[in-house]
Amino acid sequence: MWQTILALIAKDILIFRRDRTALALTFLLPLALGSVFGTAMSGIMGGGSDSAPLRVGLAVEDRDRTGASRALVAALSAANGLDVDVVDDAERRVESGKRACAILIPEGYEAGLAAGRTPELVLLRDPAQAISQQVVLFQLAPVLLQQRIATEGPGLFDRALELLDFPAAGRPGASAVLRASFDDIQTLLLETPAASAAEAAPTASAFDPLADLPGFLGLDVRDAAGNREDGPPRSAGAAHAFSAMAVMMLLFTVVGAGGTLLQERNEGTLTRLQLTPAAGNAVLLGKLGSVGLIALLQLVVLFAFAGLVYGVPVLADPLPLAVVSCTWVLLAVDIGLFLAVVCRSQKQLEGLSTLIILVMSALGGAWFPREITPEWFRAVGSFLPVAWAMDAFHGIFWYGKGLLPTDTRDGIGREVLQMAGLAAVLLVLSVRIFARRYGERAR
Amino acid sequence: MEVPPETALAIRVVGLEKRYGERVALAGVDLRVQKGEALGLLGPNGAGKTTTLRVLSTLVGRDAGEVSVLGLDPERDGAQLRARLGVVPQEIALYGPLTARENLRFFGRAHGLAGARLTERVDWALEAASLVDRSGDAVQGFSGGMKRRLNLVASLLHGPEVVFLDEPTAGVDPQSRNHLFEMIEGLCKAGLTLIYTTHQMGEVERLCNRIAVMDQGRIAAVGTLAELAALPAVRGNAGARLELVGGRDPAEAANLLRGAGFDVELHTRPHDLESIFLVLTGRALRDESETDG
Repeated sequence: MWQTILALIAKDILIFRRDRTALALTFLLPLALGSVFGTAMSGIMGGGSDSAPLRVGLAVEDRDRTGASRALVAALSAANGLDVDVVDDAERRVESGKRACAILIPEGYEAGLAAGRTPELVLLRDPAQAISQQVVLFQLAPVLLQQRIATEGPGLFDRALELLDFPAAGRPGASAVLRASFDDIQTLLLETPAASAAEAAPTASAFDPLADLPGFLGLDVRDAAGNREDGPPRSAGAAHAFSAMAVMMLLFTVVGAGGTLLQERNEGTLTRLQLTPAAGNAVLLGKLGSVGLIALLQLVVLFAFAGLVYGVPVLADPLPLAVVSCTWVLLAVDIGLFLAVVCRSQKQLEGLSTLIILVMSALGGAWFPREITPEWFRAVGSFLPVAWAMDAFHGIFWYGKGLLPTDTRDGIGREVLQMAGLAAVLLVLSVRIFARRYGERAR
Repeated sequence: MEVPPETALAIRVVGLEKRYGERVALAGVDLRVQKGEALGLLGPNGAGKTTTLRVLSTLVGRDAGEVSVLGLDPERDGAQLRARLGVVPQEIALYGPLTARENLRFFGRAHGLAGARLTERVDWALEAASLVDRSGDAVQGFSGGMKRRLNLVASLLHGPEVVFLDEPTAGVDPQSRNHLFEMIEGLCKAGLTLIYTTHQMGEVERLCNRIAVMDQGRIAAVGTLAELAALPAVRGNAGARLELVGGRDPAEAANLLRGAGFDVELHTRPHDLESIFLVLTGRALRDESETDG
């Protein structure tokens, strides 16, 4: 019996060694995905003592244009994890998803400070980019805290103890300690470097940084994206999740369906089709049509479910959604057909497509928001069709974008053109490769 | 051998050459097939049978030579030729999840049939394949013989004038094979031109008027069975049978054996096609891929 068992083990390992697809899926895919995830998560989870903290873009609109407001802008610009843009349309940038947050410095800012009033700053935020907001808040904290200390003095600590749910009976004593140490605390604050989001993660206290910190810092927080006054309330999570499913699962569907081309070759039906009078491109285009219809149906079912169950506004503006859906289906089908005509066997197609789809989905933001990833990671992702499709679908579902930009909102026309352009290129390549590989056809 | 007049030819091939990279698949094939003729195309694996049929049926181009099928050039007049050509592939080239009728309707439509004509041809095909009762069943549940019969009629829906049959009876039971033979004989009687490739010599003997033997990318010999048997190389090789009794003339060997006291009876029988084939192509194994050759 042992001889049989050992022979079976040896045989299976031999077959496994000769199966390049199995080798790639077993060893390369985990390495590739581990690298992608590791790199992506290092932005928010820390990557060691020498790793750079996640940098987040912050739009700042200075309506006061005074020395004090300019000093604030300079202080924000000096913060370690912020990329500050001084703009005139902060709200639009947040509304379009270009920035997770924006600070609006209102007119009278300097005058208020001079009068000893708490500065009134507006924090415009995109609820869909919560992680970036967290980073922004922790970067803002030292800057704004210094301002409040300067204007309110030690009395600020009474409010801090209240926010931290310090036991009421002990507050007077604690406040006295804090007041006594005021100079030390101020020094400490000034000397403390900006903390990364991970380092400043909330503790088990009742203090909720996202909810409480803005008020403590004197920020008036307003949602500038997602929930429009003229539309129903939206869920950022559902908008992202269903955009991601529309992108990633569609790729798996079309690659599987495109693989039937290889199946037809193996079973001989492709040859039979090539022997019909209208053979040639008709075979490939027919396959494109059938796979495209299946893919489109998948999107219809997915979006109907998202709208009915999760309230994703799929019918708020049907035209852009229809255009993006059709364009993405065309591109996805072309990707599937391209892989099918390039690969020489179904096993090869399965291995290659799994690797490509998973990595491309991760880099393109279908698995996790790209906002949490390092800058270079986002830059790479922006060249991928998954990112274009994600931006387009998410732009419709969350930001309410149309095809063309308006006075208040960006459009998704660029993403649609990018997808259509790549679809055209892949279609031409697929037709040529198909003709060369499957026919060496007679004219 | 009698050379048919050019006007009576369904297929005319002169000096056909085809290379795949460095490998020569066809090294100057010359072949003429008359209209209404059933030609058996024989050859060991890698001889060039499949490549020849692929060139004739427009699937691949040629590197040199002249090819004409029904007066059309497969490279130049591909679509026109495919409309008049039927190819029965060696594989069961059918869609398993579809029923027999759905398969036939699909392939009929792919050949441009529609409406009443399509229905008429599908009904004819089901009748011819004796699959009327099973027309609504998925093909994946069919026996090998049923699939073969459907595979054959699926290539005849559009009424081709020339039909290439590539081992159409592979892996079927004797009854199904006989049914297929009868169907193919019906095609011959209907005046279709057939090229039939197989490794079963008996099938060619039964179905074909003439036989072409291919080897190493060339036609080694063409003729009727009697003509092939009368070829000097074949006839002279009859002595090879003496290898069984000493490598000399059987009668002489028999006499020698008798003289030595053996009781010997000498039986002679005419060449069968298989022995002719082996004489012409040799006995060495050919393990090249058929699709490559």
